[in-house]
Amino acid sequence: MDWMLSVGGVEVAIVWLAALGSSVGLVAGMFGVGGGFLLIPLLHVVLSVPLPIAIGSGLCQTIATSLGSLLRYRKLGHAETRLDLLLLGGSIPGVTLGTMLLEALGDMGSITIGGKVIPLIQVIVSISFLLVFFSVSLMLWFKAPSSSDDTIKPGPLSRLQIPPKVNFPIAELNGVSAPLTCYIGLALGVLSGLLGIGGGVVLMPIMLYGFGFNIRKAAGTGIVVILVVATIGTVQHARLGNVHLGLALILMIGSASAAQIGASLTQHLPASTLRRGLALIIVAANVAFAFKVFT
Amino acid sequence: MGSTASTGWLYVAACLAAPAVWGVISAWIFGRIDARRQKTAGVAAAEKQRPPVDYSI
Repeated sequence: MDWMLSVGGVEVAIVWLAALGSSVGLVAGMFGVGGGFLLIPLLHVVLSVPLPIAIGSGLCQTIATSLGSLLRYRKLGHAETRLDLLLLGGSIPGVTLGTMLLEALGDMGSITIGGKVIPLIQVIVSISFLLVFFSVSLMLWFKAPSSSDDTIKPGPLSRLQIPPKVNFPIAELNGVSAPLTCYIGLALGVLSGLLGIGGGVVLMPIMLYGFGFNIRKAAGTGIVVILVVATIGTVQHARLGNVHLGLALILMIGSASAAQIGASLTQHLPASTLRRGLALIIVAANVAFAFKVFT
Repeated sequence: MGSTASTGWLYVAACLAAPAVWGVISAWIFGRIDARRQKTAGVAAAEKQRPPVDYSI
């Protein structure tokens, strides 16, 4: 029996949705990320789900994954709450701006590239995906975070002299610019609203290489921001009719169960292999996405 | 129509200005918390350094 789900005028087989959710969950669990960077392109490329619905439902699914991570990491008590609070000040207006931008792009019509008429929303979203995730992949491929747990080396973002400054006692970083941190949150929020990603895969390199966070403290930080941004983004996308609850629910069930298997697989693989594996997966998913949009 | 467009731009401007305001307020609050912590730590250190009272007389 072939159970189908109607998503924005496209009939999608539920079994394929569950399989996609599980695959993304497996990868997300292995690398400790939400998986939105993989889910949105795959929903559009493999299952032909309309982009705004893939983005809105992807954000909805992120609420469940980030809530799970928050409950897991809360026990460890490593999160730098001050960074979370500063990022939230920027990401809350940011996700509103991102959603407004996506809505405006949807109304802008299409452009012709190489004789093919492509909706502008698809062009901008795929280019943004490529630019953001290609830089994330390059960082993951070439730069290894400090292996020693005790060394705290302030990164370039921690050294910028823009007042007023704050200290991060848990991360042991002093004199970090507060407005700059808030604007990083704004950029993350815009990306979440526009691309439907939680932002963990972007925030992690910023904390490790930008601020110079220790890898253990970076893991617990930012989850609250992702949860709040995903919740606000989901509400705003739902207002625009971009959230398909059935789709989000199937993806949630598939990804939540497979993420546990992915997390246990991580223990058997070296960190450098994991980093480079994630970089390759990100590039492959986004190249496939751009290929589908432009050809 | 014009007022809707200008309200939209005002909303965008508010969203862009909000992080700077939030950053300044947060830095002030965190600064106060740090100063209070330092003061408490200083008092505790002074208490530790004070010589014990000699009750033997």
